Amino acid sequence: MKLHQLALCLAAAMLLAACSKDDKTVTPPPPVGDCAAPTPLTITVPVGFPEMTQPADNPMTVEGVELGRLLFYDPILSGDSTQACGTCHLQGLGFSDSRKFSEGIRGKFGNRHAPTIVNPSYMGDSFWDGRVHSLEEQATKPVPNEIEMDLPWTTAIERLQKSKTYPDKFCAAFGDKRITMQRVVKAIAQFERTFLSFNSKYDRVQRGEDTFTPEEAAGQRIFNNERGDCFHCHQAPLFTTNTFHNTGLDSVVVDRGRYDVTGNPADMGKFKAPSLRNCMDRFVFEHDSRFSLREAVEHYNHFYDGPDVDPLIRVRLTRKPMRVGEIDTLMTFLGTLSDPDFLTNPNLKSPYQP
Amino acid sequence: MSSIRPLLIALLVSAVAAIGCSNDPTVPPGTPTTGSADVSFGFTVNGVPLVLNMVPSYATPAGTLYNIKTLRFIISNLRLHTDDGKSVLIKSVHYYDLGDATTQTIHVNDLLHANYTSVSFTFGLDDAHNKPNEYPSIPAIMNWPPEPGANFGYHYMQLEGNYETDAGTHATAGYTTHTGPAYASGTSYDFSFPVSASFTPAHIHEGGVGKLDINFDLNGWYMDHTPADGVDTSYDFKTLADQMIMGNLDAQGKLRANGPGCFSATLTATGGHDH
Repeated sequence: MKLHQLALCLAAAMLLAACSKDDKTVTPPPPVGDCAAPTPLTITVPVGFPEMTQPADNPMTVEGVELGRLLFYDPILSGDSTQACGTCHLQGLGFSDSRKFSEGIRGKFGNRHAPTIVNPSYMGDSFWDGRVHSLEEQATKPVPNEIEMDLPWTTAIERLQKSKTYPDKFCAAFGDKRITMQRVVKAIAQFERTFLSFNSKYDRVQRGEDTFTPEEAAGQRIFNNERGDCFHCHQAPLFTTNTFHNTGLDSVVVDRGRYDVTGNPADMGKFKAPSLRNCMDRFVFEHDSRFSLREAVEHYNHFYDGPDVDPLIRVRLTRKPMRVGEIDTLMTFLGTLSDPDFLTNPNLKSPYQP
Repeated sequence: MSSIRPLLIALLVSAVAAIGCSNDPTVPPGTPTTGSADVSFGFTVNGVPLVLNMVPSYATPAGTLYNIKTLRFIISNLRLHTDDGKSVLIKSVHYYDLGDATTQTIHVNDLLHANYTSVSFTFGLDDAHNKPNEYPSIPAIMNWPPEPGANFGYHYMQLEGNYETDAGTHATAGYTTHTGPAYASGTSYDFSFPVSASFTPAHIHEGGVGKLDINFDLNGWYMDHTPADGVDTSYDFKTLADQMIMGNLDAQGKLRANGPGCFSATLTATGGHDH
């Protein structure tokens, strides 16, 4: 190659390299594989909600969500083929469980409640103690957990590879038939990101499509002022701030919660504040399911005090307890957070049931 | 010549590629080489470095002992000012959380090489910018709850801890010094406020590095810094029987009056040279 040809090639390469960096308009190349590129899935978020982000390495697609739904409800991912994600995360209960502790494989029980999964794109760190940082990472945990599904990932992948249906589903979702743990959890996470609760009465009121009754409006005021002081940990519109708090559940901490993740003494006994969306449709509350919803509200009138308890809770020591009537009113407002469209959405139900 | 012309064309194209596709379109061509700066925040209580989660031993002006467990705040329009009247925007909006190291420093490039004399910012956000979900980098715990007829965006500060309610028994309760766009009786007040802190002038040379330290003396929130004006703005937890201050315009007003007296700053500059 002559000098000038080499120089032209170099110049062209520089031009390409310089202009493709950070250029959002560049179309990614089609996947190299046996199947066509999956169909991008766009989620429209209602006004008033934060922008919904997706991981750059796991954009939602129609085929990916469909695969994730199959996997979420398929007991093939458990050692004895009895347990699926959907066994303990029930749609009608806001993808939580009615039981104090969920029954895992071979009758084993854990020591924390299966938390609700609602609008999880906004969920932040997952599990009650926030020990994982993405839905994808979370989905890697229950399969090999000996209390939950007890199946080594290598065996899970072999099972899926031998399946008559899954190789084609993975091909449709990812462009080729390779099945890996990373692809399994990506698909499950994509499906979970469709767990969108945007149409409760509360939401309709915000959009101007409905109105609160006077009792509901009064309950909202209690919720949103320092009298009820619910909002600091359960902010609208998500009704969680994804933050961790010691709410004075025990006089002596039994479950160290967040502390076991961070090692920070200030995190002793802290657990994640869950979303209150669809709370009226759930049966048990707190990480160990010790309360009904009403009991959970009443707890803030007589929590166990101690230096580790959150100032947001201890500030109540100087306030008069909430009266029964105020709690009734607050409960009425909480009822407006139920979203039947979410709890019965046919696209979220098990594909294996009629 | 015939073999040199393509070479020249190639070099020209390379130059266009390098300049035309720059990552930072806000820096116009011909901008002189500039310096950079790192901004950090320090915290003291009555001049002593802050220690979190200790037994309540800090004292308000009224003598009430307290400790500090949580500090989060928002500042906006952070600027450095030069001795010839120019200002450089360091950051439009910054969220700080003592519990989140990722929020605790700001790095800025493209700083004019100049002699800097002061820093200014708005503590909080003015009404025009304090809108719900306006800033994705600010977490939901800073949201300010909507009121009927008003939907603001964010708290400006959450300073929390415990204070001693009984000096004899050393009993304590929680306090939550939360400031923001307080709203009461159908009227809103913008409790953000401007802050300006001068420091010993420092010259940031071309290619030099500045280190800006902004210090908050946290007890300053509770101190009347201008007693001579006859308006007592001192603040004490014990005078707020229920600690509900988010809609308490008097309490918010005192904190707003005391806030500007909390801040000081230093700038040191190293390296670089001017032509």
